[in-house]
Amino acid sequence: MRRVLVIGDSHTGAYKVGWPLIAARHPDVTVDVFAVPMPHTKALRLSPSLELALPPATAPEVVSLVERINGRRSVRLADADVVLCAGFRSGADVVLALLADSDVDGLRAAGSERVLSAAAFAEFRASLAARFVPPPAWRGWTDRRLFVAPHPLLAETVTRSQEPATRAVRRIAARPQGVMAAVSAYLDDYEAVLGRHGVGLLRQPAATIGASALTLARYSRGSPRIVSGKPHSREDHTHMNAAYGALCLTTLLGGTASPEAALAAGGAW
Amino acid sequence: MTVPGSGRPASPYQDLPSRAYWRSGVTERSPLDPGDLFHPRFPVTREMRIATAGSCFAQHVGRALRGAGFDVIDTEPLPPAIPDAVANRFGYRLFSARYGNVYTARQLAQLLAEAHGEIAPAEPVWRRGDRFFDAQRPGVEPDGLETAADVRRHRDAHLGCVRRAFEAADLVVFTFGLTEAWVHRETGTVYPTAPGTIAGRFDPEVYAFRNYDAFAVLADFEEVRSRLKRANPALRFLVTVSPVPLTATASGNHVEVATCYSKSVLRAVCGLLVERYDDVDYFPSFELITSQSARGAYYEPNQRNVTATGVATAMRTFLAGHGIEAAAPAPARRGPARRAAARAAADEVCEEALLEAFAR
Repeated sequence: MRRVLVIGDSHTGAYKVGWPLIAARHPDVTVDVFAVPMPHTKALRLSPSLELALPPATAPEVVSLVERINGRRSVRLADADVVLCAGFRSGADVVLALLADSDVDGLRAAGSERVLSAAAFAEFRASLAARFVPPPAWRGWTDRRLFVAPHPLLAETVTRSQEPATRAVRRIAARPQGVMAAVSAYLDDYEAVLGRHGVGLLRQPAATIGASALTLARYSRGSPRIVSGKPHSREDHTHMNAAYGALCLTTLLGGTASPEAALAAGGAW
Repeated sequence: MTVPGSGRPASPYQDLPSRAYWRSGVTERSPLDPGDLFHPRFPVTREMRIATAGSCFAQHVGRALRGAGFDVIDTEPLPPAIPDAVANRFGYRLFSARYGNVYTARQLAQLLAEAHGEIAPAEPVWRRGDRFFDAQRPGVEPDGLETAADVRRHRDAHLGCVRRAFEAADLVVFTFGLTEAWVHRETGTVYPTAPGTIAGRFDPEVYAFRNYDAFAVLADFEEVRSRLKRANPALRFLVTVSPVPLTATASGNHVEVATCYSKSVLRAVCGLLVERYDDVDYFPSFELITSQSARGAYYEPNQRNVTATGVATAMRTFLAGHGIEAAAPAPARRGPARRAAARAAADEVCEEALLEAFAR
């Protein structure tokens, strides 16, 4: 029996509702989810015995919220064979911000205002990859494996948004040439850095990504809230749904190599 | 008019403020007291959009202004998550666009003319081995680019950023650095570094040495001013002279003599500019750092690079002059913070310093 523990913030919702869709195909696997919504996720502390919990001084209402979501206030990572940290900040968002107004030699030629040399982009990638490594207590595990799943790309629905915070992504969506190649180059670097610390990278399945370097809308529609289980509003472009979670878990479990096959393996959604 | 009771004529030096006398203004000042050197001509505020350019020392000016919350323009920005050391290595976050050090007023005038499509510099691409460099900013890509066409494409994009930087400015801060430069004999195109220093090949038939005099520097800066004022009549200028001595001189003089000439010319031009134009102010960073009162304390042991304390003192004086609170002075003790500040001061990107490698 392989024991998978998914931890993280609101992005764990997709995994929680996605797992039942594919559980029957993985009878030798259990998937458990422990979710703590932001900003409280940042307060979580990992003890030397790998107990993940909020600090003792946490406000009672936050503890109560965590108990309501998870039925417990902490989780033992030592009980898992695989720990997947969902919604992990990988630095890919920084790369996207960089690409919003920049072309990159050999990777992106979209007529942007600015041009980055291949050498500069490589050094920027290396510096970012080193910056987004999990803290020391999370590295070099031997009895279990840690994977991080970066934030998914924003959903295609963001193109109708007027929010200033999404402006860069909308600019990219309007001129996506080479963006995924540049992001992939970053994730290759990031994966190599994580690998040196014994941490794996669970990339966003390619099948979920549209031509505009955004997550296909069908993987976002109906994304669940982790507290109530109800779907997010139409203005939410960040969270993903059960189909997305199932596809990611299928990829993690190594059931299928190609995203297309993974999609099929996940059943009819 | 006479001194009452003496019959002697009153002196115009009588009853001047203490800052007007050497004894009270300098001799009696404690060594690291910057003194009352700076009375701004017009206010510089955090509401102003500021474009910066100039020599290595100007990098400190831009950094300090940004650190003090001023709106320093950056038309080639990077996300904050990219560390300064990496960004600076490629010429980012040094000035308002990625033009690298602009050592001479001629270079600034040429850059703006090029950005507006009026001139095309000669020999725009230099080589080093199989790599290609922008001759007008050879330091911004430390390993060059793959092809000459890449250099031209990058420069075209950069020139758009240069235009946007200066068009957006309410205040241009320019630090005069050098009078010595290398030019293309046939066209007069000026370069920030001597060919052969970072890239390119020095050919005395093609390139010539120039040591601009005060008339030439003044004319060049006046050209810059006129051009920018045409686009924005409300634009103002803050000029400074870099206190960093020359790394090397091609003038034939001793480097100390050449430095004195160069800085004297630049300082004189600043004086003339302030004299002639109400929209130009001068900030005496040169005087602050080189002051006899400081007894050389603002220089690193090589007696050339300015220490972090020197930079901080200059910038505190600037902010205090404008009635803006500055950060507390760096503690005068050894420790991580001081070493970090020293590293920041030493981290300036200075192509001119590369000339030292050619010293025998």
